[in-house]
Amino acid sequence: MRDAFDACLKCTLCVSQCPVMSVNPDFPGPKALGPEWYRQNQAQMTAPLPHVDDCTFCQICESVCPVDVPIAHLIAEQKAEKKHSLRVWLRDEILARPQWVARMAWLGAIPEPMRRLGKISPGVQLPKPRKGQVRTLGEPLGADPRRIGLFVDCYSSGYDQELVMRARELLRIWGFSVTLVPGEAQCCGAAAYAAGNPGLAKSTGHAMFRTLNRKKSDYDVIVTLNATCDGTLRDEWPEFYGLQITVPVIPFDEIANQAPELFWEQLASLPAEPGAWITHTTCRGKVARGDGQLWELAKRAGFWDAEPSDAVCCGAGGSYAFKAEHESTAEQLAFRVREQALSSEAKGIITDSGTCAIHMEQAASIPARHPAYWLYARYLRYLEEGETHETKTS
Amino acid sequence: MSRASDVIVIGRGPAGLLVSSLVVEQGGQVDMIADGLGTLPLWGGQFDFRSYDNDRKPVADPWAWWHRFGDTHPGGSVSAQMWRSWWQHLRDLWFTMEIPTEKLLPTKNRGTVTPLGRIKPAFLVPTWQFTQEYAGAITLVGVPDLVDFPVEAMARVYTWTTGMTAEIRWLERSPSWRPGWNGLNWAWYLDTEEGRRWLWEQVKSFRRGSAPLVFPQILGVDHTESLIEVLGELWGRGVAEIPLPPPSVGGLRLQRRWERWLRRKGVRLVQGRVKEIGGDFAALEGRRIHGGHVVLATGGVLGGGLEVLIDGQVRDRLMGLSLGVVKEPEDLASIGYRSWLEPTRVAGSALAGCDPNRHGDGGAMMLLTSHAVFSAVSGQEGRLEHAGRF
Ligand SMILES: Cc1cc2nc3c(=O)[nH]c(=O)nc-3n(C[C@H](O)[C@H](O)[C@H](O)COP(=O)(O)OP(=O)(O)OC[C@H]3O[C@@H](n4cnc5c(N)ncnc54)[C@H](O)[C@@H]3O)c2cc1C
Ligand code: SF4
Ligand code: SF4
Repeated sequence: MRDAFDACLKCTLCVSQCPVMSVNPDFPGPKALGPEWYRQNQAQMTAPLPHVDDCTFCQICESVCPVDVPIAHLIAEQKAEKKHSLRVWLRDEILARPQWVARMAWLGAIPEPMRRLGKISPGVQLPKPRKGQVRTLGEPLGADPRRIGLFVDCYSSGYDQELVMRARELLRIWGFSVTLVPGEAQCCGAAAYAAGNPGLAKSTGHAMFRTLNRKKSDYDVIVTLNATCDGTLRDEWPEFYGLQITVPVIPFDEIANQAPELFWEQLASLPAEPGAWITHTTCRGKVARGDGQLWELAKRAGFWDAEPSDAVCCGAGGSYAFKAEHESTAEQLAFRVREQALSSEAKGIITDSGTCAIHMEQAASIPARHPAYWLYARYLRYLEEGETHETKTS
Repeated sequence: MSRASDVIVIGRGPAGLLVSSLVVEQGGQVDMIADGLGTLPLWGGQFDFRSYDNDRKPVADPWAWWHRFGDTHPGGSVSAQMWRSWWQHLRDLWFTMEIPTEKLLPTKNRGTVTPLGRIKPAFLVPTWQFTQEYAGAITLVGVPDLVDFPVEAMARVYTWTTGMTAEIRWLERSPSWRPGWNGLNWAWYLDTEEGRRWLWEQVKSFRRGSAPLVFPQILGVDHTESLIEVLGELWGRGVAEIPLPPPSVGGLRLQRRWERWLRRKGVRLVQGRVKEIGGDFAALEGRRIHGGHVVLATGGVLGGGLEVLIDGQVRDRLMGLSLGVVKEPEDLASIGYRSWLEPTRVAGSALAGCDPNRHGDGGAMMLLTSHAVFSAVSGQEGRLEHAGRF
């Protein structure tokens, strides 16, 4: 990383795409905060710039840079040098360990005085654990020899067991055998890196890596439910954590696109899902894999009026939106999703991250859920109504 | 499996965007793979046909230039009719993407003005950019502390070179202004309700004038046209902008609209560096994308990738290294690519014998190479006539 920081050509492509710059007039932007500050700091110790914490660590800047400057990671190192008040420090230490937060999910909402004390955004709702019943979807529709380690990220583990069960059930009927990994609420390190604590990120990532390794004889592929964890395990770990995962890491939407044809035919036999929908590939999903897969999946599943989101980043940024000082930036970024939802009269949002989903749900006042949630719902509908609609195969 | 694409386009610069558009217009599926963004957000936003001759003198009539002098250039063999159909197609395509241009194709180059006050030829430009047939009087808008737009020097140079008056009206600092703001910061601000209202009030307070009002390129990113319309009503004459150095708002507007359109047409944008290609695949770290054809639109202006010249030379432009020549399929193996059976399809301005930065023909070269590639991969001569080939 230290070699590439100096490669900056000053082309400003990163500046042109940074979502925070587009809504926050104080934000100096990726070029100034990343390679420029880092260069200066190498020459002589330079104080962190005032708005360095406003970076969401979306990594869009890195994904567009022609010479691969690790811009967001340089910014994270700058964040690490920033001094905070005791209460902000304490709050950030907790939020950098989302696995702790997930384990405390059963506590429910945080009382108002504690929120104020902890500088948690007053306007942002905290998630409530989802524990809906998940019924079996019947016999497998095919057989795939690959054994899947379904990666249960800390958010899903604490707040969305329902999603995990839905995803697991879908994978089962697609013919896979499924093991849940890591098996306890642990974090891959992404939250700590984003919050400007690369040291903690690495130790957190290493702990997760050890747990995954202990179970490695149980799976051939890891399937992720969250775009940030997906990119972290596959791309960030080797480059920034010194960790090499030996099995393929694939996001859920890509494995879903490999589901047996029969599954898709059965869904196609249902009438299209009424109304407009928005597919939002989160910023970290775009950076890790690209854009367009989710939209394709939605169309295939019968969400005919799905349209891709115009927002680059929704502003949730893991725990970014929970911090009071980021409330305005996070809100304005989510406003783009809201505007689109209103103009297209969308009924729901299909997105690849749980924390982004709650942020967008609040901004747009329509349900925002993971594709596994929607696919399961649609297949259940097929099972319930299936007999009345003739499948193409029958 | 998710649908394999008909064409894999490697590169997300203007050439990659155009080739992808041509394919999806025919109902083809595209996977556009890119490691970085490509140069469009660095462009002022104009697509040049031929701005300068070989001696760097401005070209007034690019149609005639290609007809009479083009035979030393790969673009010289293209008929006027073909150029017309390509430009017309680009104009129509932009129309569907909500990129506004004049209704009729230009018959001549028009003059735009640089931030240094000089006149520069321009061919196809979105309507937000200031151009004129003959130099006339203008009223420039000065923006405090915008170093990329030295308005007083600009006015002097303009008057000196054209003999026409250039008055100045100054904006105040907006309440949201921050030190160090560049054109893009202004543009994001003027996309907001607060920014727009502030600007309306400013223009209302300007002393009247009879010449067009010329801003630096700061008039919003996504809501430019509606802002210009209101300002036009307030000023009573035309309102337009002059592009600034990067980060360039004009090119950014084009890139955002173009990519939005492609996303809605189902183009899959795959993020990553291609390490190996074959006739029907591109391999990235840990995955392989399959498709009917592979097109390289990898540019190289910013060192984003290899530059494959049409004579087969492969160069790394950033490092200035020549990596070899691709003439025979086996040659690909020697430059790190696997051998394959089809010739390399390359789109972009990286065409041997052309130098868009010197000649001002980047737009034309992009059209020529993208259409040539499209004809080759679709088996179509020209475009559009035989829908449904894919
Ligand atoms: C600052 C600037 C302003 C300009 N302004 C204008 C203008 O106003 N009008 C005009 O006509 N011309 C202009 N030009 C000239 C123009 O930029 C070039 O002619 C043009 O960019 C070439 O575009 P392209 O699509 O071929 O390549 P590029 O825009 O360079 O795009 C290359 C793409 O390929 C990708 N890529 C490369 N290698 C790989 C790989 N191995 N794997 C995956 N992806 C890869 C890159 O990430 C990138 O997305 C300008 C050039 C510059 C530098
Ligand atoms: S995109 Fe990369 S090279 Fe260009 S200014 Fe940003 S950091 Fe520098
Ligand atoms: S990581 Fe995202 S928010 Fe931070 S500088 Fe880069 S683009 Fe901007």
